Amino acid sequence: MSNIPADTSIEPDFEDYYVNMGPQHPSTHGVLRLIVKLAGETVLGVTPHIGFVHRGIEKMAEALTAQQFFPLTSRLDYLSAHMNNWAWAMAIEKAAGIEVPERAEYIRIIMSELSRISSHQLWWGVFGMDLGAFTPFLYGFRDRERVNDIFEKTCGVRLTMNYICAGGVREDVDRDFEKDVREFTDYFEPMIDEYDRLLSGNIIIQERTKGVGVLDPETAKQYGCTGPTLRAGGVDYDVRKNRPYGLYPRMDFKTAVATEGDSWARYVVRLEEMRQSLKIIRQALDQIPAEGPVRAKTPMNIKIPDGHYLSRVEAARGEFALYLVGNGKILPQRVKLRSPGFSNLSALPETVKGWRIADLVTIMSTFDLVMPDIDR
Amino acid sequence: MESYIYRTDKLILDLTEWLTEATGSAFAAEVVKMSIAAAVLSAFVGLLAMILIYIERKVAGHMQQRVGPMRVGPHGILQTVADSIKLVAKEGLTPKNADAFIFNLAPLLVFASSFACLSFIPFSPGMTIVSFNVGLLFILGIASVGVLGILAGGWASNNKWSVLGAMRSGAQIISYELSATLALLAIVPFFGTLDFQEIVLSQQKGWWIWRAPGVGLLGFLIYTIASTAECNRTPFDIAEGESELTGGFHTEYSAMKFAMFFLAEFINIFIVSAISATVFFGGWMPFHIEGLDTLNRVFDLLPPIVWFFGKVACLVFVVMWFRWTFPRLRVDQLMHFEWKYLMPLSLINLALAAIAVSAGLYFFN
Amino acid sequence: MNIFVKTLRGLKGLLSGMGLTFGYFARPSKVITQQYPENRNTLKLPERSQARIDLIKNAETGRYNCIACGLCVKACPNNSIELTKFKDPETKKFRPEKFVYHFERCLVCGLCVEACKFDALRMTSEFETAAWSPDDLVEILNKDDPWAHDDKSDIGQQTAPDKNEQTASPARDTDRQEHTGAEEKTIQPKDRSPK
Repeated sequence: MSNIPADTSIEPDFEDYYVNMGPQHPSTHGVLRLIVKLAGETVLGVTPHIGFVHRGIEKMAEALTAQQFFPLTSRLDYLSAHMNNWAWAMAIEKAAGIEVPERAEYIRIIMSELSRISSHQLWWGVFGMDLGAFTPFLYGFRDRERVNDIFEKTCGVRLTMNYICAGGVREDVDRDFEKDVREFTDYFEPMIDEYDRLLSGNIIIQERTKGVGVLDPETAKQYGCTGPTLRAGGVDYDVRKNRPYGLYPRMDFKTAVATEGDSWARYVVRLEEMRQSLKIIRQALDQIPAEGPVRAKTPMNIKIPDGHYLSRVEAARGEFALYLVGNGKILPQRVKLRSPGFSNLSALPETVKGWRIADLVTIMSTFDLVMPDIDR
Repeated sequence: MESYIYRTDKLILDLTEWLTEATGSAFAAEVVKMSIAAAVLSAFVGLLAMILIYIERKVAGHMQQRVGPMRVGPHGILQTVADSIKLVAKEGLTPKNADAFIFNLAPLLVFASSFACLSFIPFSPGMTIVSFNVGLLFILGIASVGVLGILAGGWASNNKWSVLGAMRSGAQIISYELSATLALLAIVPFFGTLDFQEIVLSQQKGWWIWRAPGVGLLGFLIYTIASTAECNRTPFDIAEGESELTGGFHTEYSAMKFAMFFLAEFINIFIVSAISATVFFGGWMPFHIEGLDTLNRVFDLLPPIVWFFGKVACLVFVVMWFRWTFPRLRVDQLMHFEWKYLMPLSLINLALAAIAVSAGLYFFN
Repeated sequence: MNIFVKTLRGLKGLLSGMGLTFGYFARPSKVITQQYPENRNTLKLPERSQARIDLIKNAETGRYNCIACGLCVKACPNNSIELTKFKDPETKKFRPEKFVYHFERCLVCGLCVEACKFDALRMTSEFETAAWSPDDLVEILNKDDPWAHDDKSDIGQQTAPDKNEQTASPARDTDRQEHTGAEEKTIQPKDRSPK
């Protein structure tokens, strides 16, 4: 129903109508400014303006030791704090040649998958709200609260955990950890069906998302999109599978892939990812050694040897890569962060052309942008 | 005294008689009566909006596993009072480049149209402020004046988002009004009158939603959808569309001017539910089943005004239920839905109704 | 025919969503709201929950464990700790003169606690830390010491690297490694989980 072709013809003498979407706008999720060129309701073009929360984290890394940079990585994409920590830890471990204990590796996987779930829960709720349904927002947060409780019990903090560190994790998990996580997985699996009941099965959602904002795989690849945004187009690329890190090769899971590349596909991929994450968590809980060290002995200030080190992880929004240049001192010479949100956002203007304002909101929501991640 | 609650028509008659005697002329009595009615109605509007807002918050809260307002007063019942005081106390801003006159007029237009509609609603036997032989048509006409206010407000705000919201709202309300009217008109042939009190009286034997075979139910469904759209409620709240248009036509409004839009929205919900209750569910008429006299007498124990407000409350709840469950449609999908599905359906419904009436095909005729 | 199937399916989806919300509406027992300030007394935070740092006192002597070594100052990514020290004439050991905690800069990352070798710092779960101005967030943590009374007048003047011998102010320059004494020491993961 109602597909607007991307090349909707607009008479050349049509008076251009520009609106500023953001930086203060409810559905830009942070301080993103979009200059939208409109013809009536139809979006002719979008120019994103970013940098409102630019903190110069890459530059700050050059003045901080390896340990000290961890809390800042949590603050990039704050919804995948564990994954970002992991990327930095991995780079440091590669550089300094640190072996990570097995138990720590499992804890890392469990934590990362939990934060992937919590990130997608938040996304699901906000997606509902962007489309005008307020209730999913509360349901999403209700379930996310359980993940946060698990995090708080083990890491002491709910959002910017700073738990994964060079050589393992900062301390062993809470004594109730396994019980809590198992309880959560059992609790949350039926909740995904509830999500389906409330939003996925809703014909309005389907009409609003199916066929809307198709990002074809070629364009997606050219813009460097990763994560669910890319996989929705049928490109089977997941860092966990294609460039495995940690103990992911031991895990049996499927990459969530759809073929259509539209908003609906992105939605479905994220829901499926939650299910796969639950599967990974269950496996990791079964395999994790009951006892053992969780942190390798590391010097307080780790010297980063000469050389270039690259680490990449699959964050909730896509591939988060970290490029570290060391020069033998304890401070890194250069740190480059490749955040998934930035590349995904760059594909947005291409995708929204010819759609309505309401679709712009849908597409932006399914791209799942987190501004601190993009602005860094 | 007790009989007055059940026989409000008697109350009104006695009151009129007494006023005529006291003032000496029928005209003066009418003036006094209208003044009383206006005062009562004003109080009623304020109270109604507060109660509806409170109920909406509680309904929303409990649907979302929350509790809603809890702090001001027991279970937060004074929350809306506090909010009203806040809104009254706030400074009413007019944007610098806005068309000040129209900008300030718009909320009044919206509010006035909703307010006027209330005077046709039959609350109880004889309790209609304006008894009018074409009340139903008139209410539909007046209700659409509100869209003028929305359009004017959006335009005069001199804000691009507001204009978008106003245009959406204009297109939407004008389209959905057709379906709403047609859905109501389909029932009109059955009772052959447009006077609200007579509509209610015609349902003594049964409510039209099931007395008119199929047509009543279909008409009710169409009217519920179309009236939700007319009130700018989710899933048809594209005019506000807070996640798209940051508030739409009322983005620039604050304080009392905003409160009027807000008030009008809730009064509109009440009005459409009241119309629906009157036309499809018998208004203040208690539920009766032919032959079961004991049961009917039990139902008669409840005063008509309770029946009326009970029915309206159920319908209002449905509208709120929609809002806290559904996402919103896109503007073109909205138009599609109206012109391609709802409107033909209501035309078919009207045709079916005409056939049913001329063939005498309805229950308890 | 297709359209009827679609309509029915759509209606089913809408109704099942409405059923879900009504289900929660009809069961007030499912409400998960916590009335926060009212339930303050019954609020249970996890033992590890961290909200700010605090100095640990020795239970026997009543003195702070801190020996003003400055490891926490060096570990902090944000210069949140300012520390001046003096030699206690009784014990011939260093003690903190003023242990100033800049909560307005603190990330609550816990690196200082991790760096502390003397069990002198801990994370507390005291999370109600709101204040009217950033100045109120600057706090002297060894406030029970008679010399570190609540005089904050000289705080904040030592943000730049200070040549004063008695301050262990953090060095923000790139050659910090030259005066980090604890470089070769190793950190053991601390086990804070309750026994």
